Amino acid sequence: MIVIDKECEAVSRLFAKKSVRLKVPVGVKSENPIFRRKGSSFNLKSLREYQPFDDLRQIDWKLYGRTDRYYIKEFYEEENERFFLLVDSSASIPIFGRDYYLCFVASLAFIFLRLHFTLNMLSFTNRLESSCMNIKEHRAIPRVLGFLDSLEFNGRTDLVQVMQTVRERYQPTTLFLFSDLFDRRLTLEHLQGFRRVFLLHFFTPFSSLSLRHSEIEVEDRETRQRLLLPNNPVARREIESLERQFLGRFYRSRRGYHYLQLERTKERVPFYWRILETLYD
Amino acid sequence: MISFLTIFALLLVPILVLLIVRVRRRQRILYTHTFLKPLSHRRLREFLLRTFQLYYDVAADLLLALLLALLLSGVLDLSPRRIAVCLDGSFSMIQGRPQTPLDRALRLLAGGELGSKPYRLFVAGFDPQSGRHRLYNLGRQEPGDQSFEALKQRLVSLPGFFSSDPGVAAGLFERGYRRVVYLTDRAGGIDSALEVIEVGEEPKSFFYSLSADYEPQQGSFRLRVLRQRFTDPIQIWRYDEERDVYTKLHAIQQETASSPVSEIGLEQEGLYRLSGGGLDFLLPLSHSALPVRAEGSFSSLIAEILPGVEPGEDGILLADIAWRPSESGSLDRVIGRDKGILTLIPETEEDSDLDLQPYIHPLRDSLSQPSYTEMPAEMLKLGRKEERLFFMDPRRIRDAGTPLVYLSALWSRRPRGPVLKPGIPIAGAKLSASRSGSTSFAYRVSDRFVAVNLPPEEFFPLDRGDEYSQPRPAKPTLLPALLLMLLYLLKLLYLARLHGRSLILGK
Repeated sequence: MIVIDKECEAVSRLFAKKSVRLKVPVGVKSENPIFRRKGSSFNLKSLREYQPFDDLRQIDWKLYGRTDRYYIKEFYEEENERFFLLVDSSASIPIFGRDYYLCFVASLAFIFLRLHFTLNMLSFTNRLESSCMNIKEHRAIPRVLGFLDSLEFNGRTDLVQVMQTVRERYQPTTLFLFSDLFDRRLTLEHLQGFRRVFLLHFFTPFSSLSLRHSEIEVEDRETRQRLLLPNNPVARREIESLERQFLGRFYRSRRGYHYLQLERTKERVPFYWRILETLYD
Repeated sequence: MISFLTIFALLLVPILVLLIVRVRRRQRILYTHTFLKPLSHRRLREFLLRTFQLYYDVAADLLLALLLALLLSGVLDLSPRRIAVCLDGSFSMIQGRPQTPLDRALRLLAGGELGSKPYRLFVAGFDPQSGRHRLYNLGRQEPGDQSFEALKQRLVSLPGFFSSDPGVAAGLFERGYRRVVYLTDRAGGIDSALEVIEVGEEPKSFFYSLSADYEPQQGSFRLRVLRQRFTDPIQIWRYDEERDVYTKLHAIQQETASSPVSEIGLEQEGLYRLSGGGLDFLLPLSHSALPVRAEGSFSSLIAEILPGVEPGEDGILLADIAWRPSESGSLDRVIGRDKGILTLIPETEEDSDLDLQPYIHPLRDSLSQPSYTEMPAEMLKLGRKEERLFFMDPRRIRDAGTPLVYLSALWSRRPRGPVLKPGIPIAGAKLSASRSGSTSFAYRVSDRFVAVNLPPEEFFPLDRGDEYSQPRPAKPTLLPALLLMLLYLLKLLYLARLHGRSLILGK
C-alpha cells in the first residue's frame, strides 16, 4: 500500500509561503511569442480592434475613451512549469524496496501538486510503459496513487533508450528520474538535452546486505542470471571497489544536474526538503 | 593392501559431504549484476583466482586426500632411494679354492652387475677389539668403477672376516637405505627384507672343536673334534705363560677310528690352540668346580654326589628345609623378591596343618608357576648374603626328580664357559694379541681368559632366521608429515590472507 508521508503536508505548506511567482520560473508551452497561448497573465500579447466574436468584457474602455474606437487587449496564458516524473518499473526495483520507492515518488508528487506544479508521470523499463499526464492540483493525487499502484516491476532497465524517447517525444525541461540506475550503458551524456534533471538514485549498497555464509549466489531478477561469489574480506573489498566505480559515474557537478542517492535506511523527508530547496534556489 | 583408489575414495567421502552441505547452505540473494558483471566477465586467471577463493579449502583437502592415499597405499614412497651393498664378513667367505665366495662377490661388484646406480659398500664382519659384530663402511662406489684387485686389496686389509650377523646388515634400513643387497655364501634363514645374493659353496674339508670336558675319573680333559673330510693330523699348541708363546705338543694321541668325531686327551690345564688347514680354535681348559656349603643331611648328600660341585665356605648355600617350624618359630611369606632363593615346597599333606603349595623360586626357574611360598622364618635367616638353595627331602615330597631341579639350578649358576660365540658382549674384556690365533681371538677378562672361536654356522648350514634380530625397513614418516603439515599451513595461511588475522587469532 502506498502511503504518502505525513510530513509532506507541512513541507508543502512551508514552501507555499514563498513567493512562487517570483521564484519559480514561469513555464509556457512555446518559447516563440507568436505561438504562445493567450491567457490571463499580465504580459501583453497583442492589441487589436474589436471583432464581433470577441467578449465584451475584454474591451479596453480607457482606450475607447481616448480614441472612441473599440480595442481588445490580449495577454499571454500563464501556468506553472510541468514536471516530468520518470518512474523506473524494472524488475530490479524490489531489491531496494518497493514500498519505500513508491512512497517517495507519491510523496514528492503530492508536494509538487500542493505547490501547484503540473505533473506528467511516465513509467519505464526498457521502454516507456505507461503514463499519467497533465496532473494538476492536489485533488488529483488519487490519479497519482492509482498510477503508481498499477505499476508492475518487470523487465530490464534501458535508460539510454528511454531518455532518448522522452527527449524526442516530450522535450521536458525539468525531469525527475526515479530509478536504481542499473544500466551499465548510462552516462551523464545521456541526460543532456534537459534544462534540469533530478537524478534520484535508489541504491542498496552491497555491504548492507546480510551476508552470513562463505559463498553467495547472487540472482539478478532482470537478467535471470546467477553469479557465485565468495564472501570474504578480499572479495568484499573488490565488490566495494566496483561499487564505488559504479557510483562515481553519477557524482558530477554540473549546472542543471542534481544527483541524490537514497538508501533504504535513510529518512525521506530531508530529501523532499533538499529537492525543493534546489528547485527554489 | 588396500588399493590407492579405495583409500582415495574413502578419503573423498568427508570432503564430498562437506561440499554438499556447503552447497545446500549457500546463501542466495537478489541483487543486480550491473556492477558485479565484471566479476564474471574478467580474464580466466581472475576467474580461477575467484573460484580458488571459493574452493581453496576443498582443493587443499583434495590434495591432502590424494597425498594421504598415495602414501597409505604405498604408491608414493618418499623413502630415500639409497642403495647399500653389504658383504658377508664371515670366515667362510674367504674359504675355498681356487675361488673364494668373496672373490665371486667382488667380481659381481666390479662387473657392475648389481645395477647402474651408485651404492655404498659395507662389510658385515667382526670387530676383534670390541668382540662384537659391526659394519665396515667402505664408502661410496660407482658401479664397475673399481677393479677386482683393488677391491680385494681393500677388503683383505680389514680385520672383520671372522663371523657375520645379517641382522647388522639389516640395520642399514634404519640408516635410511632403501635397498640393501647382501652378498653371502649362505643365504638360508636370512630375512627377506635383505636382497640376498648367494655367491658361495660349502667348504670342502675342515675340523671343528665340539667340546672339551674334564673327566674326574681319568683326571684329564677330553676334547671332541669333528672332522669333515679333514684327514691331516690336528696340531695342538699349549700357551707357555713364561715364554709368552704357544708351544707345540707332539706326543698327543688322536683317536680317529671310523667315527668323524675324534677324541683328544689333555692332562694339564691351560690355554690350548688346535690348528690345521688354515683354521685354529682356542680352548682355555680349567678344572673348576662350583663351591657350595651344605646344611643338613640331604643337602650334604646332594653336594657330595652332584658333579662339578665341591664343598666351600663362600659358595652357594644348600640347606634342608625343616618341615615344621620350631616351637617359637613362625612362617614367613617369601614372594619372588628373593632372587637368590630356590625353594621346592611339597604338596599339602593330610596330617599337616600347613597349607602350602609346591612353588619354585625364582620365577625364571619355576616354568611360569606362581612365585611365592611360605617357609619357616628361621630358614630365611640362614646365609643371607649367599645364594641359597633350599632342599626338601625327596622322601617327603615324593619326587625323585627333585635333585635334577637343583642340578639344573646349580648348573645355571656356574660361571660362563671359557669359549664364546662371536658377538656376545663380554664386560671388561681386553683382546690379547699374543694368545689369539689366525681364526680365533683370546680376551683377558679380569684374571682369566676367554676364547672366541669361529661359530658353527661358518661350517654347518644352519637356519639363522630365528637367531638374528633383523629389523624391517622402517618407513620414513618425517617427510610425509612435513608435506602434510606444509599443505595444512598453506591452507591456513590462505585463510588468514582472505580473512585477515582476526579469524585466526579470534580477535
